Amino acid sequence: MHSSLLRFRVRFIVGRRRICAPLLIERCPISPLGDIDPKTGVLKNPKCRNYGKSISGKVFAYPVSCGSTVGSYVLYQLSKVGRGPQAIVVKQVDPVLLVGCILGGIELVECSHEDFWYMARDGYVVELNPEEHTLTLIPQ
Amino acid sequence: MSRRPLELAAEVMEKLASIYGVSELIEVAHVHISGVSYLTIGDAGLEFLEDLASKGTKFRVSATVNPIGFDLEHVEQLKIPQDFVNKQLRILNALKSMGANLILSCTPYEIIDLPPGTHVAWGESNAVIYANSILGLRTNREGGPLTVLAAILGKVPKYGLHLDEVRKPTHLVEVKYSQPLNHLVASALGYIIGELVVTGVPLIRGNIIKYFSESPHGHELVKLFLASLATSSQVNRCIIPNLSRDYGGEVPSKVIEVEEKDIRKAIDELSSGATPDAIAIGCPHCSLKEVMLTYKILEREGIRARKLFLLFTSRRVKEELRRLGVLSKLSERGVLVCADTCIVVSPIVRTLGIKVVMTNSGKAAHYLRRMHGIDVVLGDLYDCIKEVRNGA
Repeated sequence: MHSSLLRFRVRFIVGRRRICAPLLIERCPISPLGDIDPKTGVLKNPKCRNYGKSISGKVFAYPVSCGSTVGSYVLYQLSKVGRGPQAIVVKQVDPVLLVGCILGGIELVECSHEDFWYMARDGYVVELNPEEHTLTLIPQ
Repeated sequence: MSRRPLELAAEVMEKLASIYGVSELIEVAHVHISGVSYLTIGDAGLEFLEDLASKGTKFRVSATVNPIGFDLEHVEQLKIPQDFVNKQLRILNALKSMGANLILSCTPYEIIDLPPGTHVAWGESNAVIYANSILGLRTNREGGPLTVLAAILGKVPKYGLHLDEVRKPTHLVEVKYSQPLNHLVASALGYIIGELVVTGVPLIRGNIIKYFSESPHGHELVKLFLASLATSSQVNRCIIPNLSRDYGGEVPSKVIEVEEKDIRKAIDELSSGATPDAIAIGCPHCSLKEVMLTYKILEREGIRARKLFLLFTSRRVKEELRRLGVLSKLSERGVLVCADTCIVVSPIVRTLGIKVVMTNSGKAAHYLRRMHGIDVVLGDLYDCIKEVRNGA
């Protein structure tokens, strides 16, 4: 029943892998440098709803990045130690994140639909389909 | 990173171009690499740079490098931990093996000579704004990793300040301030203009301009002013008539007025009433002229520093001071002259247990609070020098 309602057309910016993984979503801007632990993927900003949880292996969604350009290196290092997220979904792509995802080989998707940001919940499974340019939310 | 660095750099630049909505990359003649202190880039940056170097990467264009975490001559005095020193040196080795010119200064504009109109890719906000505003060089404010990739590829997306239309002024800033401009006011003025303009190209008008262009220390005032402006905003070009080499005379219709009370407000925002336990000048790095002025004031007033007095400059200026015999005289006066580093990107605030810093720099004041969480007193150069007379 939710196949059309919970499917969104998105831009695949980095990577073209089919991915199916649980979602971790933040509503505030994220500064990769400072907010994400580069060795564990744990969110270390107390302002984050998922403070203390790890983005490792998840589809990590947040609206937009902020903070230092050194943030790109954090994503690179996360991947290097095998603790990177499966994919990152943002409302608007920025250079820091773009560079970080390319360096780290992390799938990066831009989704500007307000409905996605309204409906998405932690723990939903996200399916990314690069052939059809879609992101599907699967409530659990 | 399994891919070839050149391919990686090309992919980054092409994808960036596409998110900026442009199709073209432009060749750059010079790159200034920022984000090289181990304090800011940590193991993540270190591993990235070593990874690139281990693949035999060579920069395609000439590239200079920003300050690092310490001056090698003063590692013990500054109590830099051995692990920090080792990792910082690994970062430098990686950059050197790729062909970087280790000037280790945030003022490449005092070292590198390029004709106006040249496209470059510079990191370091104070260098970027100086390049665009005064020298007529064309660069966006590139982040640390991007500058490294730009040096590898020799190209960046052709957008933003590389384009003529983006270089025209967007805001006319009328500065209503009739007193002489000193370091304190220049820093505060830049900071408040940045807060008001946020993004765009301000054109400055008012009596203060003559201090920038006519005062014997006008260059130092311009440096402090622009560095503060870029700190509180995303502004990367500011037009100062008579000084901006590629200003075409356009006057924007949007007007912003700045009065003395706005400047006071910025000073209050940046400065606390605490008692400093250290003085730091040289953000951006002091020019030779600025060091000599400091030296002359110390000599004239017979001042010997009774608290920590740190002066940051480039290696080139430090060598010149040594040659002139001034370095040892400054040392006798209690001034610790540090090259290759600065108060913001060095761990010395922590290693020396500094609680309150007095500085003439709005940029340093901003970052010392935010990055190091300490109190700051902002003052004119002269007041900073007088402060060292008081014992800690």
